[in-house]
Parts: sequence; structure tokens; C-alpha cells
Amino acid sequence: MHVTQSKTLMAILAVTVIGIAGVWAGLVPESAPGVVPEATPETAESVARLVSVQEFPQLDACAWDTPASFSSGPAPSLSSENLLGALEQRGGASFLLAGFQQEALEMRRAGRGGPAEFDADRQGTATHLRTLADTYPTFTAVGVNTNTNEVILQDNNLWSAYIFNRLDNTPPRARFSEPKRIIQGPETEMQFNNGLYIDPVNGDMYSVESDTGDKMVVFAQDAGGNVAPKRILNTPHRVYSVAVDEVREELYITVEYPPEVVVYNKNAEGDELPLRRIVGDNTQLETPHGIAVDSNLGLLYVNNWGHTTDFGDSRGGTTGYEDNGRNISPVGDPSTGRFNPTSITIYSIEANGDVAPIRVIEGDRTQLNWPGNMTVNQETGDLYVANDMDHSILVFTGLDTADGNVAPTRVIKGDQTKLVHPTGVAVDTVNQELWVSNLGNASGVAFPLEADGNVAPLRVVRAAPEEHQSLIFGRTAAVTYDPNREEILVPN
Amino acid sequence: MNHPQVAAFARLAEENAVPTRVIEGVASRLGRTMHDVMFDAIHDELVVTSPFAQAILTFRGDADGEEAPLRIIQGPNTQIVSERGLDKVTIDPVNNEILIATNHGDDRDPLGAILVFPREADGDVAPIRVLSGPATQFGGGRPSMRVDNKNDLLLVAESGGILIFDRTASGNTAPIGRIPGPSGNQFDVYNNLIITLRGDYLYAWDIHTRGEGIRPVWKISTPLGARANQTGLVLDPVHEEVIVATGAGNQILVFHVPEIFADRSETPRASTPFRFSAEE
Repeated sequence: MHVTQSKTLMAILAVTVIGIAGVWAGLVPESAPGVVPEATPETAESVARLVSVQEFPQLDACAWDTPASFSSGPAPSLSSENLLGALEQRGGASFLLAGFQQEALEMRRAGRGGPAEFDADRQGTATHLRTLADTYPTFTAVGVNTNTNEVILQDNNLWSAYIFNRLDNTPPRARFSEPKRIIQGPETEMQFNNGLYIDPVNGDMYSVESDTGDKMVVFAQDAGGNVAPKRILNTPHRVYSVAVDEVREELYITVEYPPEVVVYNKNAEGDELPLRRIVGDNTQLETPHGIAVDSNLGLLYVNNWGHTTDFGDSRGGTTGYEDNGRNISPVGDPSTGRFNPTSITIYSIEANGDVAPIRVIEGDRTQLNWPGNMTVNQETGDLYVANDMDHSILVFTGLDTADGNVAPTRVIKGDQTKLVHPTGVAVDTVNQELWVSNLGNASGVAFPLEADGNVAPLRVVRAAPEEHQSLIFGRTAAVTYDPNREEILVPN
Repeated sequence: MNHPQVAAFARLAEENAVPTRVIEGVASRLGRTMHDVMFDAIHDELVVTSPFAQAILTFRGDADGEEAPLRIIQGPNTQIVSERGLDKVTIDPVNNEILIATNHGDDRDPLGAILVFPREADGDVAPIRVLSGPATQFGGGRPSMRVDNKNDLLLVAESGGILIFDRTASGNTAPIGRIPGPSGNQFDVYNNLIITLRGDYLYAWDIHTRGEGIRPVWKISTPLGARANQTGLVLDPVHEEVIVATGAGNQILVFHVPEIFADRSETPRASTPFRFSAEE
């Protein structure tokens, strides 16, 4: 029964999304295609006239989004009369889709049964007052498909991927740009999707997760909507990033903790185990994040945040694996924790086991501050680093010899760049462009590949209003309250 | 998890509100897997852990931006284990103590332990008390803890329930009571009620009514949405609000729940089918 409901739900969802696209097109006749203008009273009136999907109010599926679960005010129901109004209030198509995803998951959970309840002497219903949530996507990574001329932005907040035309450029006063497609929904198996790789030949999208899902999902280049991945690889827990060596057809994934790099066959799936692993106290892997491959030099670059412990006594210098290929998660030797400097460790692409890096880039001249994803221009060997906390892109060159406290050759940084907590970076050698995803404001920006300094991007594609500041929530698993300042404090 | 920040929001903030300040960056020493956090209103400090570096971080109450912690407990004498053991933290501001739960995750200490440090400890400091051993009924999890200063009790969410200890219990000591289990990362205590979250309900348990099969004083519906998983919870008694972090839901929900903040002199205690034997 739930399956039937879910299929029905998704079928109507598909119709609705098409309808939404049509509504947008109808609402913005004077705007560029795919651009959603600033809301005006006129558009609000138009919404009521234009959206007329009659089936919507009949769906139990919309029940997830009751005021009790989202908004303090008179939250708009997702009825035909105010659908786009709801979209405007809730951040666009992705948040609507997230609603359907939640409802589908709710139905699944109902099938499994929730946690046992207790009977009480007194029962009540709490009054929901407020919800603090980012209703827009939070982009962690970016990729370019030069076959289809599309740019793909990975959304860690609403568990989706946005696919835009590569040449989309959101006008300054537009609310946001409409993506060509969104991959999202329970069939996608995406959770906290973080790292991204686009196959340059067939356009396949590789997506790895940073938290609860522990898997990599691969989609075909034309995937959209609530679609199942073409294959799934079970991965260790706490993965951050993924890189691929197309020459060797190998896949490299960083695991934050216990720290390691796992190397798979590029086409690995299911419970397939890694071909090899870089792991152990000699590796100097310390909360590794971004990873990149130079296929020509045969080098592997990994950036590390420096939070570390020893593991020698825990697992003989290695981490263990369960039968399903996931890490057992040793806890490290007691009382050996320390904070080391941020670094980029360099290994042979064939490194295996508890091996020391060939060289280490580390020190104040590097400007590294919570580096995120990285990529290599395979034509030049330049290494591009998304430098989250510095709102910059660092470009290191001469990596065949670079060692120690070396400065980046180029730094893209400044108020003209529109970089806000960048964590994703992609090189497009066909069009000689650099793409960056901004964690801080739901946007992607494109630069000339040789950009340097405080330069304006060639284009900006936004999935949120220009003034939007992402909350950067990443699994809000705890909360505390400061009664002195009347503030809610939320860790990630 | 991409960006391990602690973001502060005005109490009335909602939807896409901009944080008033954010603690973040290399200097903060923050890392992922912050499954508990606590604000010390008496000393105006914030305590959170950095599990992958086996550290306890204490910040100024109004810390902002890329700010270093005031104090860091970390080092060979601390007995702190990574990640699995350094998951939950709490403060006893009245008695000036910080408590963490630790667990080696192997046969060295399969049941785990609670380590107690002086609140103002800094650097490589040994715990002043360790609560550990089979009598504790710890089950090897990563329990959240809270100190009830009103009754001078230590509450530990472990073994499918909340174990109640004398606040200064140490060594291989049995709990003096137990109530049935919560779920989620955090619970809170106020006015002789233990407030827990399970599924889409808040439960309020009388701290003096203990044992298996007891009924909570209140069961209050609080729908959290399907993505809610590994939740957090804190009380705001002044405004009679319960603040819930939905974990995987990436949402903070605020509920008005006056029932649990009411004068309990008019509230009958829950029924007591039987009492925990250790208390008798």
C-alpha cells in the first residue's frame, strides 16, 4: 500500500514539477528563461490564476508540511490556489521536493514502525512556534559536464543536486535561477551528499556522502527527479570527497575519521572492497577533506585539517573493515589527541598502506583555512583549492617539487569575487573556466581559468535570493540556549 | 558534515534568519561530530567537544568568528578517548565541573566511563573522578548526561533509560534509580522533571518516581518530521519553550509547552507500579 502511495505521489510530483516550470515560464515572460524574478503583488495574483493542478489538495502526502512541522504563521497549504506562493515562502522547487521526500520517508517509516511510545497520566499537544531552517540548498561541491553544457551543484541541506545550463547567469535582481533538473527524492538514496565527480566521457555523476548514508551513488548524465542511481557503492563512514584517475580508472575517497584514503576500481559497486588504502600513523592523514589526482605526475593530493590521534595501539596502525566494506571505526589511542597545522599531503598515486607522504605543504604562507574540495587542471598540473574560511580559491603550481611552507601562486579573493565559504571547485578545460560552489549563499560562480586576485566572476548562478545567507546546517544533532542573551546555539 | 560551526540565533529567529554570530575556522578548533553542547549561564561560557582531537573546548559566552577557545582539556593525562568516547558533554556550573562520557570501544573498557574535570581545567589535566564498572549499568554506549543541581543528582541516558546517580558518584558505583528510556542526543531536567524526546513525543518524568514500568507525568505531541534523527533538546523555562534540534532534518523547532514548566505543587505524580530496588 505504501509503495502504491509513493508511486502515486511521485507521479503527481512529476506532473507538478512540470507544472511549476510552466508556471514560472508563464510568470516571467519578460525575464530570461529559467530566471525567477523578484516577487511582486502582481505575481502573487498570477499565482492564484495560473496554478490549477486539481489533484493536489486530495493528497495525504501534503500532510507533512503542516504548520506544526514547519512554520509558525498561517503556513500556506500546498493547495492549487497558492502553490507558487508556497514555493516563494519556502525557498523554491527544491524545498517542495524535499517535502515529498519527507512524506515518502514518513510512509516508509510508518511501514517499519517508529519507536515505542509510552502511556502517560496526562497527554497534550505542544504548540509549534517557530522553525529555524535553511529553505534553500546548501552547495558543497560543483562539477561541469561539457558534453551537455551543464553545471551540477551538490546540495547537502535538502539532499539534492541542481543541474543548470552552464551559461546560466542569474541577473542581480532576480530571486533565483530555475535549474534544468533537480535530482532529489527517496529513490535517489542521497543523504548529506557532499563530494562530486563528473565523468568527462559519459557524464556520469558520482556523489559521496559526508554523514549517515555511507555510500556513493552514481547517476547517468540525464538523471532528474526522484530517480534511482545506476549503481551504489557502500563506503566507509564519514567520507568527504572523491576524485578519479581516468588513466588508471581508479576512484579515491577521503575518510575524515578514522583518517584514510580508500581506493576503489572506478566501476566498483555494492560491497566491493577497496583495491588499497592509505592508512596509518605514518601517512600524516589528519581529518582529511579534499582530494585531487594529477594523472600525468602520478600524484595524489589530500588536504588535512590537523585534528588527529594515534592509532598504533588500537589497530596496529590500520583500520578494520566489516564485511560490507565499511570501517569498524576504531577510537584511536587514548589521550593522544592533538591539533596539528592544516596541510596538503602528497602521495604517489600508487601509495598503499601506512606510507609517509612524499612531501607536505604546510605553514602560514599556504593560507589554508578549512580547505574543502580540490581539483587539478590536468593540462597544467595546477591544483585548485576551495578555501572555505578564507573565502578564497588557492592555486598551487609546481607540485612536482613544492614542499613545506609554500605560498599559492594565485589567490582568487576579495569583494568582487562573490566567494562566500567556497567548498567546491571544478576545472573546465574545454571552455577554460573555473567553477566554484559557495557553501555560504547557495550559488555557483564561474571564472576564467587563469583568474587571479579580486576579480569579478564571469557568471553567477543562484538558487536563492542574492541577499540569502546560508545557515550551513549540517545535521543539527544538538542545541543549547543562552538565557543571558536569549540566543539559541546550534552546532553542526 | 561540511562546516563544523556553532551558530547563534536570536530566540525568535525562524526560517532563513541570519545568525547573530558564528564560531568557526581553524582557530576555533571545532570539528565535526558535535553531538552535545552546553551553555553555562552562571559563568557565561560554552562547552563543546572536538572528538577527533580528543579535546574539550570552552569558549567565551559571546565568542564570535574565528576565535580560539578560552581553555582546552587535552593530553596524555586526560584519559579521553576519541569520537566514540568523546561524544557527549555537560557542565555542572554550580559545582564547577565538566563531565564527559568516554568509551574505548574495545575490551579495555567495554562499558565506558564518565570522566569529571574541574570546570576551569586547562591543558593536560587528569579527571578528578571516574565513574565506571559493571555496577554502573553502563552499556557501552555514548550516553548524554545532565546534572540536577536541585536534587544533587547525576543523570545518565544509558542502557535504554536514564540512570540516576548521586552527583559525586565515582568508581564502580550502582545507580540509585532508573527511569525508562529516551532517544536522541540530549535531554534536560527542570523542576523535578526529566524531559526526554522519543519519536514525535516529549515525555516528562518525575525524577523521584523510578523503576521499570512507571508512567511519565506528561506525554506531549511534538511532530518533528520524517528526517528527524539523532535529535537534540534544551529547555527555555523563562518562555516555557522546548527547543529541538532535528539532527538529519537540519531544522531547529521551538515548541511552547507550558505544562512541563507549571507549578508542580498542583500536578499529581505519575503512578508508580513498583520502585527501583536500589532506592528502597
